[in-house]
Amino acid sequence: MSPAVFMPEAYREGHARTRAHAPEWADRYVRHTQLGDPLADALVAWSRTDPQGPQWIQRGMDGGMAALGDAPAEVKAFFAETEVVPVWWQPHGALPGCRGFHRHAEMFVAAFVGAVLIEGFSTLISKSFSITGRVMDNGVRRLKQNNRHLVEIFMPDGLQRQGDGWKLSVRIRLVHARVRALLSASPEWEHGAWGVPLSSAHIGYATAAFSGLLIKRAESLGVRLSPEERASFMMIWRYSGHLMGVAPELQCATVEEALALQAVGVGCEPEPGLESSQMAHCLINAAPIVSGITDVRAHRKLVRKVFRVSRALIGDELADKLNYPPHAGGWALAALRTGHRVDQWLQAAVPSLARRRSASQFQLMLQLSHYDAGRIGYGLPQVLHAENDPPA
Amino acid sequence: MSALQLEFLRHAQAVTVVLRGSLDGTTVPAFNEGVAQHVRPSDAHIVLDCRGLTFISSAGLREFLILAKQVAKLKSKVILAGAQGSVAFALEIAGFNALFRLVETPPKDGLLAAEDTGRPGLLGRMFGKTGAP
Repeated sequence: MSPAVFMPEAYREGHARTRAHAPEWADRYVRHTQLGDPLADALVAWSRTDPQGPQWIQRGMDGGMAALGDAPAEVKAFFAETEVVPVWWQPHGALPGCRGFHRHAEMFVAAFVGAVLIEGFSTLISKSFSITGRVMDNGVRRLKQNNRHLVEIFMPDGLQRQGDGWKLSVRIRLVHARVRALLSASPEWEHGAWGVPLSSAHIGYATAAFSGLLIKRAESLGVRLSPEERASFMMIWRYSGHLMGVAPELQCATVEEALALQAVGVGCEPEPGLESSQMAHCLINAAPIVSGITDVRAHRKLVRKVFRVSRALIGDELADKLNYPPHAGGWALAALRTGHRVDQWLQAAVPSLARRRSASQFQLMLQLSHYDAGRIGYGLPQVLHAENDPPA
Repeated sequence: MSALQLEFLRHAQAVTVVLRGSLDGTTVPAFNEGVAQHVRPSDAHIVLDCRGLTFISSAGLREFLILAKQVAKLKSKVILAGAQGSVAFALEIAGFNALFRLVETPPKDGLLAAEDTGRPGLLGRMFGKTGAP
């Protein structure tokens, strides 16, 4: 990278270190820390100036280009591009991934909350969420919205144009754009040090983590996907990431590519700070509440267990940086993994058990997900801090 | 555009709800409104005719589940008929073949024959149903 090109201060050290073994990717990642999402940013900026903005976005989401004949240029440009289907997206190829996800849904959610989300927040992504308070102030709702997104993108045809997975993915893109604008205009955000808030790099990193790293962490919990399911799983996440605005050069087709990008991100990002630690503790403490546990003793017991399993998944080095309790978790992880494998073996041997387990897992996913009378709302954050904003 | 058309066929002791289109986050409210208007507490069976259903999201599956649990308290059954393609696949991966009676075609009078009711599904057993018609 040319020394004349501006680099956010927080990335200098990590970029130099990562460039030693992955120069092209290190440069690419840091370049993307200074990029937002031009198309979504333009739409969101325009929508703030037009009282009909939210209605146009709703029309675009529900009706597509066919419903936008007399829409403003920013709306048409966004949905025209968003509706272009990449050549690598094969709808029928998504079915194995859907099957694999739902067969192991509990373990995927456990890996998501116990490891992947936390590892994601161990980057400067945590700054955005910490400043806005959009997880700490409403962690339960946020987790449930994440789970709803997961469930819908892994429904058959969920990522087809009118599928809820498609709409939720695009909605996430717009929410990110809105929060990016709010942070960019705030004196709390230090551009010189941190780059663009919710940058292209961070969206790409997050999608790599939610796909390839999620599979890796779920495998530690006993999940086994066939090669077909694995490839399909990655294609689903790649398309969801595409809809969320991940730049093409940061999209990952395979687990290996995703893990490589995630490793580059970890290398370039600064060490996790107080915000990352706060986010991790907030998520883990919210997890039992999402599960419906309100009894204080049961809550504390489950939180201790989640910390142990999470430590075993993310490793002692990161766990210590995030100020986890010191208790080892290897045995808890082994117990979960063994239990899941035994469960899978029994399901393979007893088909009626498999059907019942599918039913119970799916109902659990419904319980862990956010359904506002089933509707999908497209209200975007109005102000910077979540405490002053109605739920989005 | 995501759209759902509903048609309600009233029988003596049952109702058939014909769904055409997409049952998802956008159309769930219309489904609930239609069910509230046309399903009676006295209906022994509620047949959801899914032959024309082209897509169902988790929000839609959730509504099927909620409906089944509500009517089970009234000793009624929900029957899913004619699901195809991605809808049938969605029912399978959600384990609905363990929770509901799935049939290929909707029964003409909305009722399955006595010998077809068989053992109650899981929901029925959860809410105290016996095998009697």
